[in-house]
Amino acid sequence: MKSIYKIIILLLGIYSSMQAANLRISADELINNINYIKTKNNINAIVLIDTRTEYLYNQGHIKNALNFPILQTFENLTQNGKIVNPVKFAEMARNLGLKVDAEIIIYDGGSFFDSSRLFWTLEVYGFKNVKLLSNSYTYWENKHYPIATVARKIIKSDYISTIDNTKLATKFATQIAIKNPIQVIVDARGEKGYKGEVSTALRFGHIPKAINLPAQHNIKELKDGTSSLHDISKLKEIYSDIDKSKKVIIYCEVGKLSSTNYFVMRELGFNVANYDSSWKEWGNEFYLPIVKPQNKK
Amino acid sequence: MWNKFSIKIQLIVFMSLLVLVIESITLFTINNLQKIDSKKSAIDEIGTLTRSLNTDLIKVIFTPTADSFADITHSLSGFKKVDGLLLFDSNTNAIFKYKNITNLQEQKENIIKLENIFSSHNLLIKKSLIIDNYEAGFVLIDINLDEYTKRQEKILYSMLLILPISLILAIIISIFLSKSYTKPIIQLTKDIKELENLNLDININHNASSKEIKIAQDSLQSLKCGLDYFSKYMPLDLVKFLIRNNEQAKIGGTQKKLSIMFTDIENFTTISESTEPTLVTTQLSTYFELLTKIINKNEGTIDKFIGDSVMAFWGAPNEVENKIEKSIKTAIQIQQELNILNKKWESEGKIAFKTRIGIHFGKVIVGNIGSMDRMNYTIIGDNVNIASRLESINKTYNTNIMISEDVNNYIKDKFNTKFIDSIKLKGKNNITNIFTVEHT
Repeated sequence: MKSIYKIIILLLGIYSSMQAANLRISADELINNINYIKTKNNINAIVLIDTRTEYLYNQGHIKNALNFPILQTFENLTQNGKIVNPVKFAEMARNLGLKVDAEIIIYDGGSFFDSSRLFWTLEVYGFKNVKLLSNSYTYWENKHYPIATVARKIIKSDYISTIDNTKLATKFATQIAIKNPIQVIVDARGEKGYKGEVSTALRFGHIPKAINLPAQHNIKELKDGTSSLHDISKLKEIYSDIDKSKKVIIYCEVGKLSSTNYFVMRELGFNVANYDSSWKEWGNEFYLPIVKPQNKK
Repeated sequence: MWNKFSIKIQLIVFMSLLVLVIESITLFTINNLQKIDSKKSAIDEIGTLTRSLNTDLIKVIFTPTADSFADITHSLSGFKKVDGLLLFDSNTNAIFKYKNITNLQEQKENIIKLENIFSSHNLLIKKSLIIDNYEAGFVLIDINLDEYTKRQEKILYSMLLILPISLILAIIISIFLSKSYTKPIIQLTKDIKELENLNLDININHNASSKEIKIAQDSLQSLKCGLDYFSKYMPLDLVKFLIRNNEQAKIGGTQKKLSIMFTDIENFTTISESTEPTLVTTQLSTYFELLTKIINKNEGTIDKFIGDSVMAFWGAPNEVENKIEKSIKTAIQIQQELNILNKKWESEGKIAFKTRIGIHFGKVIVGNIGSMDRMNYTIIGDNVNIASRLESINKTYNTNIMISEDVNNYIKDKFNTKFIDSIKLKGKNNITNIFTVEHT
């Protein structure tokens, strides 16, 4: 009997890890993925999106990938991290031929902040099947996997804006989260930012109740010098302190770094929303409560 | 066909049919009303929705930010029946969608033209977004009607559930009603049957459950009294026979061989003249009662009373077994019982009624004889006269039971008869022998 239980537990473990990992795909998996192979024949079963700048994209990108520069996910980055407005986004999505049900895989240069930010943006605007490439473009290049310098042909889509409001946290939602015991706030900035030693806003400190979980903790360096997302098991360990039954709101400076935490927590099965305007909004609005650093009282 | 069933069954069938008809009419009506109501409330609900979200939706058109989208999505999530929503600006550009808009996209042109479309599960509707008389855009909304359908089904099911209950109730009521109604009717039927048999000893029930039955019972009571009275005038068997034969009284007769008896009281004229009339009638009544009793007992039919004499016959209207033997028996019994009665009367100082009896057997015509207005069930023919003659011949030979040779031939082995004479009787061509019957 005991051995049967062991097998069941093992199977459950495999099942849950499979479930947890279904939002990412490694470069080595992708190259052998049947749908990617179809993509080579111009059948767009998988939509690859490069989040780097147009310049870098034109220098070389994964063959058949589209370009969605990360700056386009912001309404006005000079102000704060607010998500691009739905009308602008819809136009871009239509021009890129994106459909909400398509299988989309996003990659970036290796920070995973950019690809995560787009991952979150797409999820907010109603896309259902978005994944992340768990390796950087550099890794792809190093492996000599197929690349291209010319953008592929695009057929426009008829995308209409819709929103998944559970994944987008506003200032208002964050204000409530401070009071609400069933909600958790995560600060994805570095330790210095959290402690109020540095700040991109006028004020120093962090949102009350927030715990610090720097986005960098999600990423590991590979031996070839490129970076990759941590394995699921490692990530589980990092996030083990957070209660899965609670609703999580994450933030950073401009809602970019925190997107990485967003992605990881989605992978781990959390109910998570990203506060896009982030510290650059909160830290500048003086009426909002903050936890100030000890030495600056 | 229908009248073959008892009142109980008829009532049950009637009530069940009634219940079924009422149920189906109610079901049909309620179902239709529900449908109309559902449509109306669905449209009303959309009215409420668009009125309450009107400004927010217009804001989304003018300020399409993620936050305004999130807000409107949050507001819409409160309307559980909304399956899908598509927001258009004044240039008919789709600005925002909520949930599933497949139906709306497919039917877009039709919805815009018709304003609302009902399908089996959904209501597709167009609502304009108007602010200060300016149409800022419009929304197409897909409303799920399942809740209404479910409510309708619920009512339908509960109605169907009521059906067997009301059927059972109807049957119970039918049985109860039939008991209170059929019981007196069944009793009435029984009483009528008894009356048909001229069993006049019965008591008519008066447990009527309705006016009509009461009238019927009262009428039956009167009928019973009438019959009772009537039977005093007519032979009971004759009445029974006539009732059973189910025939209307009409003139006509048939030929039958009957045993005929005549009785007469000796010197009655003298007696009646010398005695007080009341005494005579009282005595005569007792006398006739005795004779009637004996004749009836022996299945004879009393034709009529002629003054102090009785005319009776055997073999009509009902055939009687051993009719001649029975007529003789009757005669003997009359004489024997009369002996006792006479002795009693004499001891009381009254006059004895000595009786002469004549019996003959032969063909007669029997039936209703007379006029259409007034007829008698009686017998006619020479043989009737012979019987009468035999009775009066008793005077000549000082006998009190005289029978013809035809009678004697049949009964001589069973009774003690004695030859009296050979005479020529009126109505008979040949000389005939006459006999008397010993009875002491």
